[in-house]
Amino acid sequence: MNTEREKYLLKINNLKVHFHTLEGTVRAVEDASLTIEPGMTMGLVGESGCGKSVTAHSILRLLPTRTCQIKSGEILFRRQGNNEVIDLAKVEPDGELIRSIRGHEIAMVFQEPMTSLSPVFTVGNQIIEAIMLHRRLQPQEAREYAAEMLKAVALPEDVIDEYPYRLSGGQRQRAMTAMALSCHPSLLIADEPTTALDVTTQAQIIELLKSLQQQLHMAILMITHNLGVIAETADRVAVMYLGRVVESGTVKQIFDNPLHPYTIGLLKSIPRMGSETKKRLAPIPGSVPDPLTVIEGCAFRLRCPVCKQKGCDGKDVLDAVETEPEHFVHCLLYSKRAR
Amino acid sequence: MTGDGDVILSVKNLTKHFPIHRGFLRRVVGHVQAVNKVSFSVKKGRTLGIVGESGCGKTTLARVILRAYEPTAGEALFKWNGEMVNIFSLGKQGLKGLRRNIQMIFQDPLSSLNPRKTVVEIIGEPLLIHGIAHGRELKVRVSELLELVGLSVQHLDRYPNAFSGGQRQRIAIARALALRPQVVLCDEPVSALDVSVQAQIINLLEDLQNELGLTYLFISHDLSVVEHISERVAVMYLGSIVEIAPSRELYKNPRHPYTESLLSATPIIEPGTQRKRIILPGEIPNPADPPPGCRFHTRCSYARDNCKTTAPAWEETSPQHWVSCHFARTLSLRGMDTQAVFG
Amino acid sequence: MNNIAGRDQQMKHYQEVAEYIEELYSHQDLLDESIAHQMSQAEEVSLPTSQWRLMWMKFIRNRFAVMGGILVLLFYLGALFADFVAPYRLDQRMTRYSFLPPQRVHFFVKGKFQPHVYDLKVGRDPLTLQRAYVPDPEKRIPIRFFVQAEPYRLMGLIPTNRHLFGVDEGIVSLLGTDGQGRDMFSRIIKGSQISLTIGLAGVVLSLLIGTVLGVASGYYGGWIDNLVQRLIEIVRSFPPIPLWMTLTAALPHHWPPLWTYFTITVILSLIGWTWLARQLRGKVLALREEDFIMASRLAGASDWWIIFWHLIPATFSHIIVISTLAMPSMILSESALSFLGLGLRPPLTSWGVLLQQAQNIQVLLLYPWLMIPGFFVAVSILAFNFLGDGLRDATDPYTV
Repeated sequence: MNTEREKYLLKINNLKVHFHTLEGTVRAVEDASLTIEPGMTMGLVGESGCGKSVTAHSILRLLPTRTCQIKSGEILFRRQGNNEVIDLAKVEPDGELIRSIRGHEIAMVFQEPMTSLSPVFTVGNQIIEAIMLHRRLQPQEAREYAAEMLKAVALPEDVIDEYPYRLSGGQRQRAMTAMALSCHPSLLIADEPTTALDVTTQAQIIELLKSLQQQLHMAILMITHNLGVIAETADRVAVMYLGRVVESGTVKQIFDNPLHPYTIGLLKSIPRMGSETKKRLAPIPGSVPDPLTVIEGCAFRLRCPVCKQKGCDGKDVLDAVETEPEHFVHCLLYSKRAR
Repeated sequence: MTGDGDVILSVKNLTKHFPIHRGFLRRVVGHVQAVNKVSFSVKKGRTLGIVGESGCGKTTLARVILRAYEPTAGEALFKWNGEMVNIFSLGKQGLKGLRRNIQMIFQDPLSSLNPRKTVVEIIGEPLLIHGIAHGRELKVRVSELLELVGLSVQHLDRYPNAFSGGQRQRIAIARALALRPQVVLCDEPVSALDVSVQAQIINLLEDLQNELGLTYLFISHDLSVVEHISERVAVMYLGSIVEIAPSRELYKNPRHPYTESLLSATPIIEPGTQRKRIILPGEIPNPADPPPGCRFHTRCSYARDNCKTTAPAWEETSPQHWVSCHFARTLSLRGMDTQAVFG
Repeated sequence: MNNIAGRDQQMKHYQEVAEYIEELYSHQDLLDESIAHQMSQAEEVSLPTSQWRLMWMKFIRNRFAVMGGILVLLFYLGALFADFVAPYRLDQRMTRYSFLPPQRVHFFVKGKFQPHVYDLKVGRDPLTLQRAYVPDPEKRIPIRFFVQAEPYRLMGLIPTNRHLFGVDEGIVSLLGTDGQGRDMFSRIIKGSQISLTIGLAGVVLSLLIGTVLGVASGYYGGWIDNLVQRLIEIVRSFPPIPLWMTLTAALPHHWPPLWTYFTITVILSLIGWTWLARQLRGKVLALREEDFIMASRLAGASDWWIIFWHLIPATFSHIIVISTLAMPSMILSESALSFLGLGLRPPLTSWGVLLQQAQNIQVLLLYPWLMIPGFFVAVSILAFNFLGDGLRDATDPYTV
């Protein structure tokens, strides 16, 4: 137990994030816990509005401070070098500390490579700026280093002097990745990195991230709604629904032996390519409730097929059940009380 | 590709070039070849899937068939009252009549519904335009349509923002069906939806097809969705169809290198399976200046010299399986079955 | 050993539960009914707020805008019921009291609320020979509400002689009088009728021109767009004051004042429509690309249908905002023209006409209260600007 606690890189415990809007409070993240170990890929999967992006953004404290508040929970991050553990949930949102971590120890790539690169500077200049922000280098050295990074993401050399609009979507995502990795972060947060891309380009980026991860030995938090991408990239998976992590485990456990009714429903509702028998899809009924609704207890009970049949009222407070090592499920059906 | 007794829509050599204007006098300096000599036909009550990556011309294709854009060349024959009518030679009145028979469903249910109109007004709009129903009868008709797509009658007077993405797409489907069309062009109808809702809409589309005998042209970039819903699938690359075949056949036995690479690039939900992935080199060429010869040769690992100069002809490698590649019969390409063997 | 057996049993149980869930998903028909009920309940609760309500909530959070709105409302109420609010007629001369400075109103008599003014003793300054008014604290003239005085027709229809306030004897003049002894307060209130409606009429007219040309330009594009845009550039490149001067100088002098009034409205709006047309064109250009326009076209809709069913309703909030923001320039233009003697002329009375009296420096020094109409112009313009800004922020979906 003790050794396990030693090796984590990032550990989120019971994170709760609320947004205050004109129409009311949006409980974007209600209860999210996950652990990322060095060098591994953690997949965070869920439908729109499940809070996966908010969780990721709160790690870097990128949320708007005016409307958004981390209500409780902790985000423990182990720093490079001295192994010091700090709680990112408590640091100043725009302070010195978080800025020294952003882009340096934790980097991020976004869904829209067009909007995350500035249109008025060349790709090279933007990478050089990112490098110089955290490292003391001469401009010439920085430029050489930037060229090296571009080479690492398999972009042609002359891209360094191109403006982003001249690049295709896939090239821009590569340039973004080069920028994000320029300071050798120990954690890369990839927020839907392939959603805006075509399948063949998506495949390129996935392969790229995999090979860079091996070279640089960094951990990746892969956020996506695409179960296929998760299955191909992640070592561990956390499934989120309405701000809660409902199930987490190794990728094998989640895909081969899903337990939570939501996970089972998700996997049953996607058409499998190349399957011999063509079956009717089995969707999850209903749709994700409005973010303003407050749901006590199990968030999935409004759509859960078991809820009515088994008569679980779903209002009990849920504790995670560890059904096998590292496989956690938040569902009353698996808790001892329900048996 | 040959005509058949119950073919309802048949497209022949459809071409659409958009002029590129430059300068003060807006001189035409070139053409974007969005759709280039596309031919296919769909049988009544069936679904033809069209897959391709963004910019391959699949959306333009649908819009040209509906005369939202005027075609550059080619013809589109639609079976109307037992006769094959060329859509592209219809006049204003004929076109309005055609709209009752061919309708479209859009990708983004946010943008395809006017946020300032109620559900009655949205679904009833086509009925109003054609003077089919108004007032109380309109409400009755719209209620029937709502029921058909699985929404409740209480929703009649609400605005689109009161609905989730899936419900909005149901409303859009109801609108498309209001005129009782025979053919529905579905342009990425589930791409903007959440995974769990996607399945609901796919099931709904299948049910409606069985109930009303609809014919679908199902356009998507998602190979697994297209495989699930279509009997036949056409693969588009840079404005042209490169391969068209019954869907099982196409996924198992692709004969065009581009199809093979698409299949290998699509992530599958089998964790731990090691696949040898074909990573296409380079980028999609500029459609204003497509490469000569076979359009795919710049990224094709099997390309030889004659690919760079001569455009390949169509070949039927097995019944109903048409490929546009010089080496359609000689290459041994990997389909879905042979890909996952490295387990 | 026991432990491992227990564990196996546990695992088996978990497996069974998972299989049971999977089984339920496969029997959707059973499922749909039981869940449809729950879902409809859940959705009833979470009905999102309507667009208009959201706009309203945003608007009332902006204090300046609300204040501006209230002021604008008061101004128009005053103009609508001008005869009732004003204690005197427009041209009622009280020659005994010419150039009377604003009177001070006292509200309490021995702690009891009883508004009154002091009677005035009229004399002459022995040095300057100016008329001087000395209030006589001994003689209080009570201000009465809903008094009967000069007869008039309320809103031009109902004959009555009730006024909001007035006095039985002497004079009540809150903002002083002019050289002919006419009550400034009454004249300003009456003048607001013209000043505020000329703006309104001008805006309505330029709305019509701007909407038609803007929507057509954005929707059809091509040569129509080119033509309208060039026209806008030409109209905008004229310097406005000389243009007005020429146009109004061309008006025949023998025309009745009402005609002049309408012609000036038309002239103002012929210049004012360009702003709206540009804005609407941009909006329509964006809307034209929306899928619901395409869907409408593919359903067989004509251009007219698309313009009147989709485009114009969608630009409604824009039109409201733009017209609110256009009001001040209309009011200002009228005041400026009339002040220069090129616009309205007496006997018509607007704020600009009233300000004509304040044209020379002597008046400003001796009778500064004659400038009060200028204060009304400024306040109404500020009110309109605050209101317009607030409306614009409220209708802009991209701000929180």
